Amino acid sequence: MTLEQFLDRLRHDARLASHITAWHELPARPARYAPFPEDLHPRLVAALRRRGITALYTHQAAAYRAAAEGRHLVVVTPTASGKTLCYTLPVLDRILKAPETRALYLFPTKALGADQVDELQALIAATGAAITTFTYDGDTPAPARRAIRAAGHVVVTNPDMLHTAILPHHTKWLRLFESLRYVVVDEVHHYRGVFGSHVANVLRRLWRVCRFYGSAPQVIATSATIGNPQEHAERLVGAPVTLIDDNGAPAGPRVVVLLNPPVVNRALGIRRDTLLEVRDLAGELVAGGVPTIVFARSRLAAELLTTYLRDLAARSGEDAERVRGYRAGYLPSERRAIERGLREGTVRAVASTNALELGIDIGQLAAAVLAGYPGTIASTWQQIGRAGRTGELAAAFLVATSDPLDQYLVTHPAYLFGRSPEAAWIHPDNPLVLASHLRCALFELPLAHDEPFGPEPPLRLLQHLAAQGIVHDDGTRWHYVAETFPAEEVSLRSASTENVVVIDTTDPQPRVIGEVDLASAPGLVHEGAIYLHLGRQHHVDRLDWEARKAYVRRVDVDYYTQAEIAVRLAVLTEAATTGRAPGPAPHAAGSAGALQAAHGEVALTFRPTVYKKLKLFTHENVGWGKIALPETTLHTTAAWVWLPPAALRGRSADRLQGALAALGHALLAVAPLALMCDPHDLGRVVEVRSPHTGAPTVYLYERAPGGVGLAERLFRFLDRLAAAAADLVAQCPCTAGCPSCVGPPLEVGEHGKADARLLLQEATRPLPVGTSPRA
Amino acid sequence: MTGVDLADPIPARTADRAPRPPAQGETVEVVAPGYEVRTRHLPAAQCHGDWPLDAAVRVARTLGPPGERLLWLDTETTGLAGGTGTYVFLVGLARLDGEVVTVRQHFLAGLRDERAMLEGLAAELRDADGLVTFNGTRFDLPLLATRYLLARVGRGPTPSAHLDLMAVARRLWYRPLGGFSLATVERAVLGVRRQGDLPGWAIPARYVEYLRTGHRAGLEPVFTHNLQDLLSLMALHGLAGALVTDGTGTIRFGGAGIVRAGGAGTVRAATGGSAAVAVPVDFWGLGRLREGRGDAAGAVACYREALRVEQDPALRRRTACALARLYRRAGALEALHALWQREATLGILPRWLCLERLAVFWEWSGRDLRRALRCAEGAIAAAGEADAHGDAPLLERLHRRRERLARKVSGIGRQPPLEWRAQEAPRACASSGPVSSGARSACRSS
Repeated sequence: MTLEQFLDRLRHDARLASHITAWHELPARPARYAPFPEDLHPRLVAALRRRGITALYTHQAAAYRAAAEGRHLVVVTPTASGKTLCYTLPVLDRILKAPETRALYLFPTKALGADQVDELQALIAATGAAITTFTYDGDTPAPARRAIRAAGHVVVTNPDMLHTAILPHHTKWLRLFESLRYVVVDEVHHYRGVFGSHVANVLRRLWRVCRFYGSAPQVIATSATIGNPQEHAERLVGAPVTLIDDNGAPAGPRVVVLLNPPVVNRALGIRRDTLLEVRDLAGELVAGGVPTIVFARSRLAAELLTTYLRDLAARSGEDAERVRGYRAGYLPSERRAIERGLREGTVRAVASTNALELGIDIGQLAAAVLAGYPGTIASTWQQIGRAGRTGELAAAFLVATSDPLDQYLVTHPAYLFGRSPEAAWIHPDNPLVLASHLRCALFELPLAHDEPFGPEPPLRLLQHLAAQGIVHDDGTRWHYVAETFPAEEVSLRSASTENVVVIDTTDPQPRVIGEVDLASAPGLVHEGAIYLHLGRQHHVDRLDWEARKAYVRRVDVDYYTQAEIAVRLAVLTEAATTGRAPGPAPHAAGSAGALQAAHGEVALTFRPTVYKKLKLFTHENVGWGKIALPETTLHTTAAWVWLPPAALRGRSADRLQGALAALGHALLAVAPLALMCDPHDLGRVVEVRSPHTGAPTVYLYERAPGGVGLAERLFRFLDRLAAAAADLVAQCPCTAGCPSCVGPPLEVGEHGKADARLLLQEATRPLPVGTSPRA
Repeated sequence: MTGVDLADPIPARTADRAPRPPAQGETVEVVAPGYEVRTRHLPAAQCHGDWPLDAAVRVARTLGPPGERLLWLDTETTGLAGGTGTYVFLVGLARLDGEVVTVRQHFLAGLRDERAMLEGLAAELRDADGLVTFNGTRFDLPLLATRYLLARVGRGPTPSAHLDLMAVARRLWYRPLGGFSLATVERAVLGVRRQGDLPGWAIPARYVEYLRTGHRAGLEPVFTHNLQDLLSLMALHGLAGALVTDGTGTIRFGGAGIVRAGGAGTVRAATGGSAAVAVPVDFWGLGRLREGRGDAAGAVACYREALRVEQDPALRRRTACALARLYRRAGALEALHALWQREATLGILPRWLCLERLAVFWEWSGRDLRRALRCAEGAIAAAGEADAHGDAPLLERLHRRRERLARKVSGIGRQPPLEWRAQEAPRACASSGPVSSGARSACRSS
């Protein structure tokens, strides 16, 4: 069965067609070529021809030209559009013309780096030139490091290694920094929010070190389609950046179909399970021989879908090995094998988490099935983009879950097709982030009195550090004099990098089969859990929490497990509040009229409680067990807003819950722009009656441990935020809520939008003259 | 460059902030406002701990580095983590000038004059033939190289010869002392007792405090600490040199006589004039050091000494194997046979290992294939008893050897090897007793 036949059947089968809520056809896009630039090194031209490339796409030529003109640039292109050549051409060209040239490649993850190195090395091999590339990451053995420092033309690493291993030891990298000509920053859309703000500061440090060695490298950045790629790249790099977004790569016609599973219990409004719906859909595609990628929102879902699809394949007499899973936690060798299988066609279908959404080369697939809305428009298009073949039809299917957000999306397709993808925000001058990198920068090189770091010379920060004995002023320069190694005290990512190793003890020789990040471990590898790996079931016999090891045994059972984690928020200290203090003073800080607010330190506790045993294929509950694991705690900062007694008096608890959720959603919707952060930097907890405030309360907490000051700014600028949120809600054309304003109606209730609007209007109503300095 | 004049107004704001007036036998040069050099001369005959320095240095030279003009170097820094943000604020250099030990301490009194300090230091280092440090390979020298690069003053110290005593100390003292830091070693083997010494970890804070306040009083213990470290370095160099270079496993030190190795794992050494002291030594490590210098006989003595007391099976195994290798190389077949025979009866090493080694011996050195086969069979049985079933590669190896020997043995029956018939000496090899020297030469010539 071809994809065309499948689509035809989908449209004409009455039962299936009734699930379709949108059918969107994207026309084919022809290729647009440009000749090889005249000054491109002849060996490179020959190498490209040898690899079957006779001309460049227009965007590749434009990138080369911009690089040749000495400009910083950001290339925005969809997946599989020949993005790699956009930076590989200028870099190799320069190295061929001047062999002392060095380049530094930064990838957000190790996996991406490994993939790009393969491609780069293939092209280098075709030139026959003695150009060396090296990967420098946590896995690089110590003896190899010395050779890399001395000899690598292209050093491939990630921001974390640059931060802790390369910059603080820059004298060992003399060769690299003296001749550094290009810095390639791949996938810059990754560097958003707090993480992006950290990376921007690491780059500031990099530029300083380069200046010391007399080099001034150019940046070639790439980005997925986001709302503000140029602005984002400029903020990240700290300099004007040329935008290259005129994609010349061809694409075949594409169909995007939104599907809503049928209602199975009208009284309760329960829809058929998304995973089962996806299994049926993808199963048919796989059975029809259509190369398919399935995206799941969680690792468990990805593994379940792998299990189901392999089962279907086996039952129809096919080789189950042609269906594979893919997610974080697989061993690198396993991942490489799956990627290769996809490229070469030996793997026909893969069920993945968003790990494959990124630029890893897996060739071109005919169909993508999204098991649920990935959460952002940008991600959705990235995943949809995985289906796409030159000159041939491709299709993407988004199957909704019963989540309010999904339900909104499938019933309002214009939201997805009409809106531009989310913008990325960073705030490199965030004082806490800046201060931590200032210490690292000083460790790397003394700072002259008039030298800026960030927007200006950070005199006040330096005086503060001097008072703590961390820096010393010798009269002309600031020196780092503390004993500690500052880069080790600053983590770029809020998530811990610790892992729990999963060890299979079925065979006499135990072996490591994968790993689970520490935060997810209590829910995935608690004792009694069924841990799914490559679609195979493993029973967790023992979890040695202290040693970070889970011992599992292969089993064959008809159920899987799902853990429940109870989340609790407790206020530890209140740094400032608008409530309780009498008189006009409260409005001096960011009070918002009818809303009371405070900020301070909080502890979020995650306690795994029980796990359910759910039958495979039907997902019915067949038992449960207790989880005996210590709770984990996130100490961070939060801002919280509570309703005064008069507001929404007499409303039901459900309605209050909806109003609070709507209020929180609206504030979170405007926060990224106002605070220059990523939506994922903040989390939300709603309490209809908070033990701390005694009133209906919304907590907005920072996900970065300890916080980076977002909560405090939320509090300080609450009146501005509330005004922006009020505008947003008032101007949103939806009737009862949507993901862009207060959240979908299923989440906030039918009155959610109206209640939130009222609260926000109250909050921003000018107070009587004399009571508020900001009125 | 003269001794500092107290009337010199340059850095003197208060008495405490000024360079300290020179103590007796000491001069202070103020090269730049932020760079001073303190020089002190000590009689070389004086003892540091149990050891006289001049004698120590005489013996030390045999250990290297080559060259007449040696400098012992020790630095004090603002941190131990290394990296670009760690400053070297004090570099002590010691050298032997005839009857006098000269110690020069280059001190960075103000960060602005780091360049001047590094230049001064480089000038002094240029005159040296070789450098001796403790952990200089990994710490002091890379750190100095970084400072030179950052201050843009040439390439820094690149001594033609460098001896890092830490590598030596690790071999000699890690096991007996449970550590090999200079502090541990000097207390245990040099007999140095420091009075009121500032611990190393407290030093960076003292300097930062000085930078903040300008008060020098807190720094005095740092200078003393650095001086003590240098003297310990010289004494340690001497002791290590004596241990490593004396081929018989006895110590001639301070010219005052010879004392045979004392109790288990110690060397008794005579010190300058005082009573002999027992120095704990890891004879395995000493053997490795001697072997590394090509002193096979000295290494053999050490390994034998180590085997007298070694109870840890893994460590005993590597010692026995190292000794066996040297015996084989020297053609000391009797000793080789006796070694494994004794190990087999002692029962510390796995029996299968000793029997396997004996099988190897009889197959290739002793040339008695039947005995070799018996040993190989015994090894397989012993491996079974030792419950080594899980170790598949081991069993496979043992079985392969047995099969090969069995094939060879049956081959002898049918057609004895040509050269054996010609020599008529196989009986000597096949004799049941220990190999006689006559048999050995017969076997070797065959």
